[in-house]
Amino acid sequence: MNNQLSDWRNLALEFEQQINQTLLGQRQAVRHCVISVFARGHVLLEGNVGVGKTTLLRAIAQGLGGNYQRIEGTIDLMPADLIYYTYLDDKGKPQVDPGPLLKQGENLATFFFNEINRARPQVHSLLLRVMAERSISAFNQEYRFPHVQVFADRNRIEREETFELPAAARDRFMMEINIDMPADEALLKELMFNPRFHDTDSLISGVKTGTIAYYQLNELAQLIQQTIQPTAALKNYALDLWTATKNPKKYGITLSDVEMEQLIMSGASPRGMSFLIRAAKVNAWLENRETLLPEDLQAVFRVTMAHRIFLNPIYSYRQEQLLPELISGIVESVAAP
Amino acid sequence: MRYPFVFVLIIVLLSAAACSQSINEPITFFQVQTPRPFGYVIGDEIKQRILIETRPGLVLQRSSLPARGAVNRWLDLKRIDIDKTTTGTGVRYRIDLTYQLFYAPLEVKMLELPSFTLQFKQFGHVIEKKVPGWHFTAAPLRELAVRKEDGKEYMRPDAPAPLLDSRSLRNRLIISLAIVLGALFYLAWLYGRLRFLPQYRVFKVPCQQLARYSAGDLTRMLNIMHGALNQLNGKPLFQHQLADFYQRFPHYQSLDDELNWFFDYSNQHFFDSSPKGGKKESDKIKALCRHCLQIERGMR
Repeated sequence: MNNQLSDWRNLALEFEQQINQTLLGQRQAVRHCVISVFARGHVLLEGNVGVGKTTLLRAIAQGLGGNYQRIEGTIDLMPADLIYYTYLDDKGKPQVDPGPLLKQGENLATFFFNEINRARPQVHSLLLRVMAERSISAFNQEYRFPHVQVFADRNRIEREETFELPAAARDRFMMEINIDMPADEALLKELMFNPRFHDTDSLISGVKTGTIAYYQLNELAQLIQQTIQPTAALKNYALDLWTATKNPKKYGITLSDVEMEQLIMSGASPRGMSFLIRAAKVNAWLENRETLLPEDLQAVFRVTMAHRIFLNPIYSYRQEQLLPELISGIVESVAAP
Repeated sequence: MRYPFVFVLIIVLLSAAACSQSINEPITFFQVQTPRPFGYVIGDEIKQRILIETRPGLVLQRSSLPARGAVNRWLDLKRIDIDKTTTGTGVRYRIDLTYQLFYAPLEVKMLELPSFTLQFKQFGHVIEKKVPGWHFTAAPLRELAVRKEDGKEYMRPDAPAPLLDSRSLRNRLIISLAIVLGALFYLAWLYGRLRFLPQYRVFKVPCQQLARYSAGDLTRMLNIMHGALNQLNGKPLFQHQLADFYQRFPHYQSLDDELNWFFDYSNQHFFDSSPKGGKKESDKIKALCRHCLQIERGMR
């Protein structure tokens, strides 16, 4: 591995370690977030209330440095609220100022969207373009944010006054990461009683800023993708995984009480598979390898695929049970080579 | 007063006579014990017991007993048992003679066990005692009345004896045998002796296939070995699942180094841009398969 990548890898691991110190017992989720940062993909966090979703995002933003903006999803939030806001200045004249998206211009590195499912579909559709093209049109011109990475979170507890993300919006997220409470009792006691974890602001400020230059991330991501090249055997394996998301029965995957022919409405998209490979390559890089192994694909398969597979409506009420079973079934049943 | 004297004299004389008899008589006791004297048919055995007590020193001459074998045309002496015990007053002989009858009379007939004379010897003197003949009746086996005109069957065999009911014993035997067989089967399974079961036949064919390939066919060899491991595991086996694999198949733990080498090499071969390998690798894969086969057969 060339020196530049190797140096960056050390920085990435240091960055990961800092976040792990901030957020206890979430090593897996943190690893996935770090992968998404270096694969330049957007992330949707999902989990219960108060498990540390926002803390994780803030820690990442703090670690990456650069400018960041955040917005809270509410039911009356409109797309225009992201672009500009109007007010009367001290002389009583109406003023129009750039909104959270435009305020930092090209320097915007991280954009948080808290409680994204509380925002209306109009806002989601604006976000589609920001995520896919990293640009928006406003005030008769196009604004570009080449370095932006969108993190969004939503909680699973409340369903009232929320809007489910449309499939197109979900597909634009590279990963959907579930954050659960750590199971280790010692960690839970630490979280309860250590005053360090009581004040989130001071906790976040402990994360060192600027170890990673956000404006170099695009270049680095490209270098990683070019350096790590898959072999024919791995391409076959990835293709098998993709086929299995559409036709699990072909690989002998069966779930209880499910007609496997009817289960899947649509499998993973080509964009989803390219996200999978990008993330897998970053995983290989973090593992200090230049070869892409099936293990790399497996490591990121769940987070990159679970929100892209759409089940037949008759099974959607069991989605939370069936999808994890299906994903682990695919990972365990597809052989490589 | 004369009568009591006569009485005493008579008593004295009588007792003297009695004493002199017990002293002088060489044979103090003689008895022939015989069974019922009727109802014998051809083939029956007749036992005769002779009990004799003699004064000490008298020796029975065995030659005076009838010889074993045919006594006459219809009587055989099958067995002679002599039991000699010394008692306080002399010697006691018990002679058991077992005859077998071969006479087939057409009607009830009186027959006789022949008499013979026993001889005892003492100081050159021979003392004889005659065992008298013994009469008994033998009956025919056939029916006496001939009633052929009735169209009846004669000379029928006896009705076969009813067998004891052994069903419950047989059932218990079957249940016990079934339990024993089950236990043996379980033990054999436990010790990995049931080599015909599918789980014990995973590596046999792959090892045969691998033997056919040389270092030039590493891709095929790796595929065969992966296939065998996947079959054993029930699903594809990857390197990071080895710990879980050992939990389910603990015997393979001893191959940990070899299996890790295999997966490392397989990753290098399939997923590295410049795979290399030769005879050494192909030999190691064959050895791994052989070791797996040995574990499968409980020989390692």
